[in-house]
Amino acid sequence: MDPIVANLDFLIGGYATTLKLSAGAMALALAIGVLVASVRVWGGRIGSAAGGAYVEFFRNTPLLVQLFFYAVLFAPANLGLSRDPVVVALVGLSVYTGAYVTEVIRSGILSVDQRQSEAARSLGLSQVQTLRRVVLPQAFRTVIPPLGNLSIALVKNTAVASAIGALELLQAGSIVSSRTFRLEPLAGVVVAYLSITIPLAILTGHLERRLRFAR
Amino acid sequence: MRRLIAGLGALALALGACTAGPGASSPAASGAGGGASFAAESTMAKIQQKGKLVCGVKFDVIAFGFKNPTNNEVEGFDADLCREIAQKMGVQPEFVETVSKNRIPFLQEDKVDIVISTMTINEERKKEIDFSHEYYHAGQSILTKSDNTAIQSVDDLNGTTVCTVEGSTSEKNISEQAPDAELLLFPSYSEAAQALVDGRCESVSTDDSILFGLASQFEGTELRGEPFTDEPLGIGIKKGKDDLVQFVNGVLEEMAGNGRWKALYEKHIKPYSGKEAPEPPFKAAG
Amino acid sequence: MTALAMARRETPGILRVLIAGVVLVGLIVLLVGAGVLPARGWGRFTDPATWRFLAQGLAVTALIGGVALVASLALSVPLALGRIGLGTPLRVPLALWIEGVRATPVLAILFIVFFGFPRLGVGLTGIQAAMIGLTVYTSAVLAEIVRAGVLSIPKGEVEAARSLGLSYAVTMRRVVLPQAVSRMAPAIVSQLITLVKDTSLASIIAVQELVGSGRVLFNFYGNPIETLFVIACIYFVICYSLSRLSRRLEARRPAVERLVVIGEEDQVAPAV
Repeated sequence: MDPIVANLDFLIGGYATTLKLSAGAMALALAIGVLVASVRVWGGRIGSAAGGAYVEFFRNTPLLVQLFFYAVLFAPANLGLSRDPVVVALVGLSVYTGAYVTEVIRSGILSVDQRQSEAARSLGLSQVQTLRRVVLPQAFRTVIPPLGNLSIALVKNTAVASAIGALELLQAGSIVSSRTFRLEPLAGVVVAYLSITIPLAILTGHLERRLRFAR
Repeated sequence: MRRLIAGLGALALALGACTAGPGASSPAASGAGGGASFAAESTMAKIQQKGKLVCGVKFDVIAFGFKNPTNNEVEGFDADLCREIAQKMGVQPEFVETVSKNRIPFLQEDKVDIVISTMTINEERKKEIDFSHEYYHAGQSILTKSDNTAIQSVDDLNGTTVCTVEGSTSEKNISEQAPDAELLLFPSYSEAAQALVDGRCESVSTDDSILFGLASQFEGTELRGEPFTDEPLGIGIKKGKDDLVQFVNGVLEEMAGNGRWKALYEKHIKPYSGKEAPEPPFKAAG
Repeated sequence: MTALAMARRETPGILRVLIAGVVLVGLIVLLVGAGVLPARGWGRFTDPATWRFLAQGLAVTALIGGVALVASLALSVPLALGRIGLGTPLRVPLALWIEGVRATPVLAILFIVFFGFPRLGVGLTGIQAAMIGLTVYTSAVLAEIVRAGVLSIPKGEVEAARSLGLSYAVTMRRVVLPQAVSRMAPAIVSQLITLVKDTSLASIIAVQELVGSGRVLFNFYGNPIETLFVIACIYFVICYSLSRLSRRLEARRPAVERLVVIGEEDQVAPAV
């Protein structure tokens, strides 16, 4: 335990970065998902195809390759957007997870019976009102459990950010581990990840059961 | 469908060609029959029985151990040392990629006979393995962009971002000698150098032996200042093989005496360091 | 036709690929034109040697992925059956193992295998460590898929088989698993996509698989953006084909609820 105790502040710093990265990327991914899903459903043929291309390309490419790509692309020598690996990882994780969120939201929208929106429109509700009052509340129920699932996957994926130099939990643990020639810091890191992912998994399972019965 | 099959066939052919590649291009440098004869129970006799000397080398350090993607040859100072030692035994050299994390276990499990992979001799490692003479004297130095004039020595690193590799002694040395430098740590040196080129950090710091190659590989970068640490490189050998240590030391001494050591320096390191070959860091034979 | 109905309607497969291809090429041209992607550095990809080198990396990727897949499939069945198995003392430890592994980042598992084994005196090559690490992870996920597949078979069938005098093992082998396999197939192929993508993590522990050899190339030629883009496209071709296969398998099956494994992105939102 000594190497963990001696480097506790350093490790907690990594843990905090992982939490921030996860929360930030989930929020951005949700925004991307809602936007692109809307384009996929209501954006016509071209919008749908473009949205589909985004979804398929980013889902079927390793996150690591995407992060390497952005790290180089955003660097001062190229676009000059940012050289902070945490910022690069935030963008990369959001765009990657956003592709999955898009499909979840889209199937949520499509799960609402089309006749309901037609009925709402014929009752004089505008398209926006129909969306807000009729479609989204029902879609919400279908999308919550899969979104919970994606958040777990996202937390695990933040570890890949260590490869571009982001000082998150895994890198912090791996640095302490190699400085002290001990394995305990890496084991401690795993426990720290479990402290995030297991509660999320329990919560997701719980919501899944509740929403299933409420339907 | 037919096109798919044709495509798969082409892919299979391509893969086949590649897997055949390394074997076919194994170096023919070592002269057969040049080997001495050894006592039956010696480590060298066992290696002769195998017919090959298995060397653990790096595959990603230009000038020392580098697998050239254009011809699949393992090149560099370390690789040629392996060839030289194998030739003296009269066996073929074989190269296995080792990285810092696995080279000592590889020795202990006899997966390799010797390790020549820019390994610094230190007390901690001496407890686990034996070393040959110091065969090269390296030191930690600084690589920066040629147009960066602000960085001239290790003190100038304070207040800048320094790229290096996690878990390396280089990282420790920087935190000690330039405490106000921000560290950006990568899994490998090539990534650190790429980050320097992209402007994600102002410098890369590690052994000059590694920086030479990076400087040549990444355009617009150069070494700055004098080395600020001492890193004696040695050939690693499993404990209990004293005869092999002696044999390897003998080969090194001979190379110092007949100019081979200097020739290897001229061939692999001078193009990058720009310096004339120094005297070898060990004694020449008789 | 309403927009919604159009979105629901299936665009033919070849057309989709064509559209995707056009969008992709358009995107590259646009990005190069806008100065985001560099215009130089693509020329290296006209050299067959470049492709040979990448193919070598791809062969390592296939080797790691193939070994991990076969080993994981073999391990997943005893893991799953052990976890279902009634009252065996192994049930709880197996459940903890499976849940624990699945909740851990793959990269952390790779690190522990690669750095941990040498400390026990067992030196692993990066390739061996990657194979072991990916097998540990994937077998746990596949065990969940197998478990869900087995549990989806109506209890009545098991009871009927047992009352006919078949042993538990024979019931599993002859009655339950054959049916479960066809239900599990799409989820297994989806997990294969995750596995293929995860093999890229091996490059972090010094394996020259596809990403690793790409890195050697772009460090050599100084064209990281172009090379990474090409590598992404290679992965895309493989993974997209697998996702189409998963979908086709799913369509062939009678409509039952998809087997969902928590915390796996490629299981959560299957290709639509």
